[in-house]
Formats: sequence, C-alpha cells, structure tokens
Amino acid sequence: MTKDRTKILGFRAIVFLCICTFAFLFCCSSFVRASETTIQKIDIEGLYSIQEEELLGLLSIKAGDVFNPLSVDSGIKMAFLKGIFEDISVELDDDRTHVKIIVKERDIIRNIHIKGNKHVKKKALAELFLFKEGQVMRYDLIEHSTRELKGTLSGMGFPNAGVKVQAEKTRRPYRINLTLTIDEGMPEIIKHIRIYGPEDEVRQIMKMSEGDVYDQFKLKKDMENIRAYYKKGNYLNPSVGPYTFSSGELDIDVNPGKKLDITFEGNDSVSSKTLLKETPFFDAEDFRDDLVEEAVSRITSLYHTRGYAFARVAPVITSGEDAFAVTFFIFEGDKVTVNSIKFIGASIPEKNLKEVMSLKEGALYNPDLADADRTTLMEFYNAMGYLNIHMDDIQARINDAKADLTITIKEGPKTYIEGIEIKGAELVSKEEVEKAIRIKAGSPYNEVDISDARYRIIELYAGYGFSDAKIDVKQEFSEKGIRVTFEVIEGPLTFFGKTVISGNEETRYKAIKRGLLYKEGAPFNYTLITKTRQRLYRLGLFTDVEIDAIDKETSTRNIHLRVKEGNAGVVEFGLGYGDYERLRGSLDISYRNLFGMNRQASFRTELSTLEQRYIINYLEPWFLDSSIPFRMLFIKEARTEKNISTRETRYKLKRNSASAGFEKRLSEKLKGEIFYEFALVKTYDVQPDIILAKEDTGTLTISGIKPGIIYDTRDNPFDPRKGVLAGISVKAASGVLLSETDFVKVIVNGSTYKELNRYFVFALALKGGFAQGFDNTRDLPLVERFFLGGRTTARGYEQDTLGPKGVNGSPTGGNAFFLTNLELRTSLGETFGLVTFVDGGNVWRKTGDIDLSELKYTAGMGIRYNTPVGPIRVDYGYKLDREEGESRGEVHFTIGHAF
Amino acid sequence: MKCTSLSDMRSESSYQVSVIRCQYKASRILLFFILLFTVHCSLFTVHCSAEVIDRVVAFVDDRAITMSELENNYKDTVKLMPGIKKEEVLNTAINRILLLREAKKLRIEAPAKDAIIQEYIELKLKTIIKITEEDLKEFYEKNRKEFGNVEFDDVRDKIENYLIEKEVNQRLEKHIEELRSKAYIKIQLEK
Repeated sequence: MTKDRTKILGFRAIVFLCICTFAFLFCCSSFVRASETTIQKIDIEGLYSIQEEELLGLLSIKAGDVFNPLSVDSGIKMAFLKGIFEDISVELDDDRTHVKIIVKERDIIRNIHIKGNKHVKKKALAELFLFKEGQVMRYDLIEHSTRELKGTLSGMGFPNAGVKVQAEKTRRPYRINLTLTIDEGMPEIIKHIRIYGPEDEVRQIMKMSEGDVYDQFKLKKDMENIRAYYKKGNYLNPSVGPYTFSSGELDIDVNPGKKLDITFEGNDSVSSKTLLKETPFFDAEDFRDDLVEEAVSRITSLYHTRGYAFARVAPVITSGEDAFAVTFFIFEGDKVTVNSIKFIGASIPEKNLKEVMSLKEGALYNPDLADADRTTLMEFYNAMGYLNIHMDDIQARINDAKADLTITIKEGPKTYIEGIEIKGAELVSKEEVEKAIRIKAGSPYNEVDISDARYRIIELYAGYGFSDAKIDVKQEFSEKGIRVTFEVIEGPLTFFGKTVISGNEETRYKAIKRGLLYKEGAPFNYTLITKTRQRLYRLGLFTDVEIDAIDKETSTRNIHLRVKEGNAGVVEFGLGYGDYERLRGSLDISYRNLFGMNRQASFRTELSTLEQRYIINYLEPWFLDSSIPFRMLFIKEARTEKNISTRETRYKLKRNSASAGFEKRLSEKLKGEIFYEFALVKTYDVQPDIILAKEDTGTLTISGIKPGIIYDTRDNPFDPRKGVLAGISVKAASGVLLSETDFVKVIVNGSTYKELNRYFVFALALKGGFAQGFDNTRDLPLVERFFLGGRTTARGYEQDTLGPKGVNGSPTGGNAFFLTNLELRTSLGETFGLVTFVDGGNVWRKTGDIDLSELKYTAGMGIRYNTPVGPIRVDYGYKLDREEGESRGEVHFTIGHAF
Repeated sequence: MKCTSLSDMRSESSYQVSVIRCQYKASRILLFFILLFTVHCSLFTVHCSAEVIDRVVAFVDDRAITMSELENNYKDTVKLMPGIKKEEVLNTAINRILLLREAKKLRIEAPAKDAIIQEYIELKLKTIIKITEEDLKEFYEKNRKEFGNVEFDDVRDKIENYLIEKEVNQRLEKHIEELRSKAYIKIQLEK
C-alpha cells in the first residue's frame, strides 16, 4: 500500500508539475506578447498589380522590424492613393511576429465588346459608352451608364433602344471584360422637313433630308452650320430654331435677322480686311454705340502702332429695316518716326534711360507707348534708389513727320540702405542668410531688390526643410537712409516622408523610384520636387508628371507622384536625297521601356544606292543599379565609296561591328563615355593607287577602346543659335585586344554659336585629328583614315577628295587632318534661311607632314528650309585654292547644318 | 515494458497491481500528453487567431477611411453626441473629405480642417445667398405670434441670420449630394 501511496503521491507531483509548467509557459507567452517582438513572417494575399516590396514600403512593414500599428493607418491611406485598391486589411497574430496583409484590388476593364448594333457604328458607341478600356470598373455606375446611353441613342433617332451591360472575369485577377449589347429597335424617320424662313437657301446648307433617321445631334450640327452661314454673310445675330418633331414632321424656324455692312474709306496703308478684324460687332452679335466707339479706338490704336500718330477715325452709320451700314472714314496722316529723345534734369546717363524705353530713336512713333514708357522710367529710377522721383508726361513735338521727345525729370534725393539686420535666424547661420540677401549697406534702396532678397531667404530656408518659414521685412527711415530688418520666423523643420507613385501601368515602381532626387527622411525641399519632376519627364516615358506634397500631419510630408504614361514605342521612316548617295531611306523601330525599366532598344535600317546599314542599339540606363548608362551597339554595313562625278568605285567595304560601353553625364553640360569596339572589316575592289598597306584589302579585325568627352551648351542641337559644342575622342586599337592593326587615333573638335541678333547667327568650328600606327602598323587601314571634302567638311570639294592622292588621282586619305568652318546664318522669315560660309582644311598622310600653310579654302553660299529635325539645305562651295584639273566648286544637297 | 491484457493475469493481487501499474502507466502517458498539450497551447495557440490591426471601412475615390480612423472619430464624437451610430460618423467623415477636396481646389488654406470647411461653405454657398427685405418681413408676419410684442426692427438681424443659416444648410445638403454622386464612394463596415 505504501508503495501504491508513493506512486499516487508521485502521480500528484507530476500533475502539480504540469500545472506549474502550464502556468510558467502561460506567463512566458503573455510576456512575449506584451513585449515588442520583431516581425518574422509576412504573408500577402490578393496582391496582383504591384510588387510586394512597394506595398510593404508604403505600409512600413518589414521583416526584422518591430510592428508599429500606428504606421499602418497612414500606410493604408498612402497605398490607396495608387487608385487600384478596394481594401487593404492588416492582421497580426497574437505573438506579433506574423503579419498577414489581405488586399482586394479594383477591377480593371480590359476589353469592351460591343454587339447587336446595326445602324450606329461600334466606334461611335464606344465613345458614347461611359466605361472605357483600361479604366477602373465602377459597378455602381452600370445602371447610370445604360440609362445615359439609352438617352443618347434616343437622341440619335432610336427611342426604343435597349442597352445591356455584362461584366465577365478574365483569367488574370482583377481584370474583366465588358459586353455591351445594343438593341436599337425601330428608328424614327423624318418624313417631311418644313423650313419657316428662307427655305431654298437653308435646304442647300442642311445635310439632313427627308428619309433620314431623326438624329437630333446631326440636326443641331446642321442648325449650327445654318447660323454660321448667315454670320459669314454679315448677318449680325441670325436665329435658327426652335424646332419641333412630331409623327415624322420636322419644323424648323430660321430668321437671318439684320445685316451689317462695314466699309472703310481713306485707308491707304492698312487693308480693309485687317481693319475689319478690329471691329467687335460680329463677335458681340450686336450693333450698339459703345461697340462703335470700341471699333474706333481699336482702329486708331492699330494706326498708332504703325507710326500714324495723327490717325483719326470717324464712323458714319445708316440704318434700314433689314440692314445696318457703317462706314469708317479714316484720316491716316503722316507716318511719324522718333527723331530724338531728350532728358531734362537726368543725372543718369541718357543711354541707360533710352535702353529701358519702348520708344526708340529712328523707330516708328506710337503715342500710345508714351505713358507706359513714363511708368517704366519711374520704376527704373525707383530701382536706382530715387524714391521721390517726379516726371512730367512725355512731350512730343512733331515736325515733318519727325517726333522730338522731351522728358523732364526731377530726380530728388537718392535713398541708400543704411544697414541690414537679420533677426530670428537660429537654425540657419546668419552668414548664409546674409549671402542670400546679396544687398549690402550703402546700396541704393529699392523695393524690388528687397522683395527679391526676401524670396531668396525663403528659398534658402526651404532648401533646409523649413517649408513654413516666414520672412517679415521692416524698414526704418533715418537721415542717412533706410535701415532694413529681415525678421525670420523659421517654423518647424519638415522632412520628406513616403512617396506613393500612381498611374504607372507599364513602368515599374523601381524605375521611377530611382529617379527621385530626395530620400525619405531628408529635409523637405520644393526645389528637389521640381527637379525630380523635370528628371522624370526627361526619361521620355511620361506625357504628364505631377508631384504633390500631401498635407502635413506630422513633421513629415508624404509625396504623391502621379504619372501619365505615353507611348513607349515609336516607328519612324524617312526618305531623302543626297548629292553623294542620291536616293536614301531609313526605318527606325524603337521601344524605350523594356520590362518597364526604361531600358531602350532600337533597330534602324539605312538604305541608299551606296550603302546598306543595320543597327541594333540597346541602352540600360542604370547599369547594376547605379546611375551609369550602359550601351551596346551592333552594326552590319555594306558600303561603296565612289567618285561623285565619274561614279567610279574607289573601294567597297563590309563591316560587322559590336561595341559596348558606358556613358556618364558628369554634369548638365559635360558627358563622358568609354566604349570597346570589335569590328570585322572586309575591304575589296580597291583602286590600286589607294592601297598603302596590306590591311587595305581583305578581311581585317579591328579591336579597340574608345574613350571620349563632350561638352555641350547648345540651345538646340538641330539648329543651334548660341552655345558651345566641344569634345575629344580617342580610339586605341592593339593586338592585346586581338586587333590585327595597331594605332591610336585622336580627334579634337570645338564649335561655337553666337546669336548676333534675331536674324543673324555666327558659327565657327575647328576640328583636328591625328593618328599614329605602332608595332607593325605604319599607315592606318583605309576605313580608319581621315578624309575631307563634302557637305559637312570642305564644301568646295567632292566627298572625301581633299588631301593626298594616289598615282591615278584617287584620294588615299591620311593620318592627320585639320578643318575649320565659318558660317553666317541669316534667317529670312520663319522657314527660310541664307548662309554664307568659308571652309578650310587639308589631310596629310603622316602627322609629321602637317603644314597649316597647305590649308585649302573654299567659300560659298547656301539656302536653308527649316524643319523640326534641322534645315534642309543646298550649298554651293567655290574652291579658293583650285589646282589644275579640279572643278571650280561643288553643289551639296542634304539635311542638317554642316556643323 | 509491454502492458498485458486482463485475461493474461493469473492472480487477484497480481491483477490489482497490474491494474494500478497499468493505470499509473496510462496516467503517465495521459499526463505527458496533457503537458505536451499545455505547452503547445501556451506557445502555439497564438497561431490559431489573428487580430485585425487596421483595414479600409470606406473610401472616397482614392482616399481611404481606415477602421482606426473611424474608431478615433467615433470615440470623440460619442462624447459630444451620445447615441450616435458609427455609420453616421462614417458618413460625416465622407462628407468632410468631399468638402475638403473641393476647398483644396479653390486653394483655401486655414490652420484647422474645420476652419477650411467653414471658409469653403462661406465662399461657395453663403456669399451667393440673398435674403430680401420682403423675405424678412414675410417671415416676421408668418410667425407674428411667436414674436409677441417685439417690433420687426428689433428682430430683423436675428431673422436674417436664421434664414441665411437655413438656406446654407439646404444648399449644403444639395451640394454634398451632388459631390457624392460624382465620387466613387464605397462603405464596407462589415468585412
């Protein structure tokens, strides 16, 4: 029994132990739950349209982090701004380590199928239907959409039309197809049209006729046309309608109303057609005294702008039952020019004052500009610190169509800034604020400078994240001048919060996010937002980019970035004619958003009578997630080099090349690049006198590295008017890189463009190159040699004919060249231009042969016809250093500037 | 050790001992399972239930109203208006979102959201209300009994304010109705 008792006791002890263990573990688990535990597992259900990474980023949920329920509320709201969600639910297990996110997205309409229509076209129905492909499906609007479409169909003459909308799920989640079933029913037919008014005339204008379906939209268009017809016929306010339709009978009221005839007398220098545009009667559809006065005033102003300072206009009105007539009698007077402008009492140099005026000596005199010029001069004086300036009206004395203007000024004392004080600048140093103000004590006082300084301080603070900073400006007047105090109320520091991106269907989140110029947690700055917007536009993927800073709740401002995607694929083709290759054509297929990552690929074909070229181009804008673009190029070409006049073949060439490398924009103006190129070149049918080395015939492997740097400040690369383009490019080929030829080739180029005035642009270009073969290479292979002559180099010469020649006169090219071009580009209106130019240059066989006294000059003229991709041009270059047997000059016809 | 069946027992005593031993063994196994179960319950029952931290109870186009936002609003409102339903609080929140959105379009700014709404109502609805002198007199005459001996001039301003407020409320109701019809609103209080 004792043994049994012991066993029972042991049993009880085990039960007690169990209870204790249970209690201990319960306490432990409660403690675990109560304390902060890191997230170990995240499950997302129902997410389809975006990556999990993007959603988790917005919700601030990350494995390994402590779960923060407070961030979930704002995260859900941020994610919702994407416009694709219907519900986001965040659940958490009791141990707070397992987060479950259940998402429901909104359905998107993929396709709309229209069926059952017999009379109304599918395209028209698709336009009228409320729902569109690609939009979010609004199930709550189905009834409204059918009702609306029925109403429209009724207006189109189908009053008994039936409309049914059915939604059908597709294989892809949250993507549906809609079927729109139309039963038009019997249409209403117009049996008879009755016009109450000038029937014959109206019927001729109307497109609707008896037997047509009673389409009220077409009828309204007809009525608009009738009205427009009468308005064009000088009827002031024609009335068309109302109309009635009953049992197939269509009745329309038409009343043309009163006609207005406008004539001008005495207008010798301005045409009646131009003057008619200054009369407001037909726009106002009325003929009243105030409108007559307005017409007189506008006509007078027009004459003033043309220098007719004495122009007078007198209207004479006659009124009949059916018509008005107004004749404007015009006394034009002399055309006056400004002879002289004189200032009385001005201490500022007259030249400076004249510069700010609209009225200029030698130009037409427009009396209407005198007041505006007086105001401008007053403002100019204020800006110079003359706060008490007094100026009389500008006096004009006109004799023999010449106006002498006199401006009398009482300048008063000049006011200076006595001192500048900054108050309240604590988190940004006073030195920085002073630097932003730019104004120094002792400078002339003016409000514009002070206002600009205030704006610059606001900008400075905004740059540091003080987006609510306020600056009050106070002025204290004293005998010495004005003491200016900038009182800064810095406000709270604001930081960038999260960024939600919406509207990107094809483009991936990552491709946009990497373009942001700010980081979460950085000081909030509007300038960075503006720059980000510009940067995203430059990707060429979006037609619209909007960035909004969402209302501030805490110290952070979240950002909503909305994009509208454009068409990433482009197909272009072109046909052209050049003097050298004659007929040429090109086809370009490109896509700039491969895999939604802004990767660009293109295929280009260029074909001409002398050349066939196929180019495959691939660009990865962010190589290995760094902002260095990586480019690959594959080119296959076959080319025939000919003598332009005899059409005799100099040599033929087949080249297959592949190159890959990096491009990097080092600044806005500076770009660096380095490429590796591998080419297989086959040269054949070569004129014997061109052959300088064994590499000039047969197949040759050229393998080399091509580093380069380009500096570009041109305003427009197709038609530059100002700026500089300069660059250095090097090509080094060596046996180390498996090349069969060894050389180093350097090309240096620089061109500058200067806008002399609206009509003239001066352009100068200098270009030089030299090459040196090493190891077994002395002369470069034919394809790598320098040639000059032709439409973009020395225009007095044929293509590639300037420089050393073989025994038969064929150009051999060389290892060095120098070229200079000088152009004066004159614009003759918006589309045409005229160019005069001087080109000079030469090619030398070896670098040691370079002798600048051997430069050959050509001069000439050309015509330009401007197009969006540069001007189409015809140039004639005349040889200034013609040698015996050479032509006098050459004509070139091509597209784009010479440089 | 294997537990034998009852028929294999030869004597009473040995039978009893065997029964106790078997009971003891069975109890040990049972206890082991109980212990295992308690451990399992203590550590792993948490996986059986999940708490909804937050979700969307309604949305106005791309603006979500979360459960936590509604709960906070409800707590604040019920203090002032005991008995108010959650649905009513949610509808008010939707109306506020619509009005604030319109106010933003007009670039109305104020330190508080209530002030923005107030200014929007003032600008959009109140400024265009015109109460004529006839309207005021008509109201006065109609409610003559209520005013007793008070002269018209003494209550004129009060009547005017009352009529303006009445008109504002009517217009606001219509305006909100119009805004709601244009927006994509969905209420999903129940999951």
